[in-house]
Amino acid sequence: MKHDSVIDVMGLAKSYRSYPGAVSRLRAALLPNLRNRGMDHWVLRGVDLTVGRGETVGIIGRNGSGKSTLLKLITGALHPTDGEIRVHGRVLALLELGTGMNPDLSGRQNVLFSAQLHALDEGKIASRMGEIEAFAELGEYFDAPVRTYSSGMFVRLAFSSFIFMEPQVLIIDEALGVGDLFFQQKCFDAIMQMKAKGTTILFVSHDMGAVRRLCDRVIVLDAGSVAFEGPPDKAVMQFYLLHGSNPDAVKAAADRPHAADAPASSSSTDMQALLAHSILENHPGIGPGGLEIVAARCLDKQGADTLAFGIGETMRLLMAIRATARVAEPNVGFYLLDRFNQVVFGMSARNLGEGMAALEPGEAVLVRFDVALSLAPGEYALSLVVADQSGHSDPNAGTILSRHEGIGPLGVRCHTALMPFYGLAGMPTSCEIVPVTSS
Amino acid sequence: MYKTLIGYRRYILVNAAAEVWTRYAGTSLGVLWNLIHPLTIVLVVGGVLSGLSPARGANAGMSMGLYVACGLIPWLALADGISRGTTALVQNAIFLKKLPIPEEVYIAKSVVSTSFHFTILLALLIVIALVAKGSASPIWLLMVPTTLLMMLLTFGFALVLSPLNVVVRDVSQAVPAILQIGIWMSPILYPEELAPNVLRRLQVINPFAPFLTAFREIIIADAIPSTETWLAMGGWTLAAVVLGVLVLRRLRSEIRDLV
Repeated sequence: MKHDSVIDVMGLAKSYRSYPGAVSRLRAALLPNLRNRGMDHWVLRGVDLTVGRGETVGIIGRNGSGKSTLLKLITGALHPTDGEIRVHGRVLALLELGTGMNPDLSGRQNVLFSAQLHALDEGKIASRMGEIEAFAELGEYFDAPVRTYSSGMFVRLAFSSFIFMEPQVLIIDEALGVGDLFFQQKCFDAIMQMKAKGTTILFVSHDMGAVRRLCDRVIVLDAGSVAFEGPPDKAVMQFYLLHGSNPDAVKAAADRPHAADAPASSSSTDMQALLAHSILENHPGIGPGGLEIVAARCLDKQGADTLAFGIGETMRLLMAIRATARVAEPNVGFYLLDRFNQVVFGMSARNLGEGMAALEPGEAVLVRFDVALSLAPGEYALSLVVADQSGHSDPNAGTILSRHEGIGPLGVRCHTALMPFYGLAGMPTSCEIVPVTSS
Repeated sequence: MYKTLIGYRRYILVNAAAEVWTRYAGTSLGVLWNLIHPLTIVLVVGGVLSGLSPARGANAGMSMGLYVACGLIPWLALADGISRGTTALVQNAIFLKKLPIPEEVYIAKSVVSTSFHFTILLALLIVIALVAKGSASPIWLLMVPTTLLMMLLTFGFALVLSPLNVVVRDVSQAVPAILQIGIWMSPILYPEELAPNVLRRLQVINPFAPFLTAFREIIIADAIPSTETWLAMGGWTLAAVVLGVLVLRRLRSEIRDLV
């Protein structure tokens, strides 16, 4: 163990134990010698971490990888199940931002109040009240009750009082996503200043840009243990590599040796595979009917069932449709919606010039789409639609016969350090660099 | 635990005071409601009991009122402290999940808030005593240590009950029912002579009994409570606090996972 370390975490483990009932939990807690019937759910296991004085360490990982639990254990808001945590110095966590504020007190009173909340010397805080007031930029609101504040003002007050408490260790957990852009920049500057003054910082974020800029060292947490520890660039890359492919999908592909020959025709065996791997489960069709989607599959280029893709990778979407009534001008399509429920992209057979012949009751066809997912990294919902376009003069109009919504989420991730494009979607672009010849 | 509570004393006091004020925020009579509720019980029960008393007249009514007030007011404080203390941890779940503030701070906060409440009630008791007796006595100052001991007893109970309530939420439902029995276990709303023999013997296991005796001795008889009474009060308090510390120590690691 290094002498100048501020945080030492050794063999840390945290489990949430579940019991058949409250009474058996109580019995287990009060009489630990009795046979223990609890079931352990490990959130963190075997985590070792040393943070040196003045170091800025980033912690990244997916939701549920144990980041927040680790931070709460370090601040002391949770008790470890196993292992040891030693913290030398005062820890302040921005994840507590504003938690203890009293809405009936003014901003000024709340600054003192948060000092009490952290059992701090009030006199010290009071002597810096002028600086806090200036930093918060609240104007006359500084003396108004906090309940009259907007959420942005609230965060400004909380952040300002935190900075002036001068912690030895500062823990930042996504807290900077609030407030307007200018205050965010100011907070970032303040954090950089604290870093320059030698404050030890633990930074948890999904903002890989911020992680790269701020951190000296980054830890990648995965399923409750440290998957990687090292320089920020390498760690961010590891993070993407770790989660770029869905391990279940890869396994499923390995189990089926012939999966590589993705079903292209509508033979009966393909239909069985389609039904067995259908993504429509729990997503019933909505609509008047007449034409229905029996099953659908989502495959990667190796033919493995997956909902996780890299940017620009081709997704193969297979849909088996069957008519239950005569449909004169059938059409099949899909939509991708982002987290704001905006349609990012929609496509149908007709748009691609694949006009479909009329379907008689009981007739079925298989439709295959291959789409390159040139989308911003993120999660998307998939909607599948069948329609009848007959009787509409507008070529874009049709009667939706059945639709399946909210399938997924479909994950799109970036596997490379350099993003292939910026923004919501990639557009085919070419670039040529021509030397200028001076004449 | 003692050190923790000292460290967070300002937080405890400020929050407890805020709790007392916000409890009646928005009502036009405000904190007066703290007094009206017990005062009506004292008047009604005192009036009814004076009808049972052999000595009739206004004087008997006053002394019966004082008799009831001496028992009821401390009881209300104890009951308030225990029921609030029981939910102290569950109600502060948001803070427990995010802040490293130790559990006992929240429990102490709820008991201190009850103490503020109790202080206001004791002022009412003194007024009733002055009206009923016409004069004050320096012995009444003994109410201070008696009150402090009783609040410490309440803290002990809360230390036992509030961690238990985090694990088994039924506790907070059972406590009011048990308190309802408790008020009839002691001769609070009826004269001691009317208590059945069985109940009189049960006073040995009633933690409130010595406190009831002490308050009545001090205020009605202007007498110093007996050593036996002091020992009983101290004994119950010590037992409750020790048990509370043990229960909290055992359950501490579970609390934040469960709230």
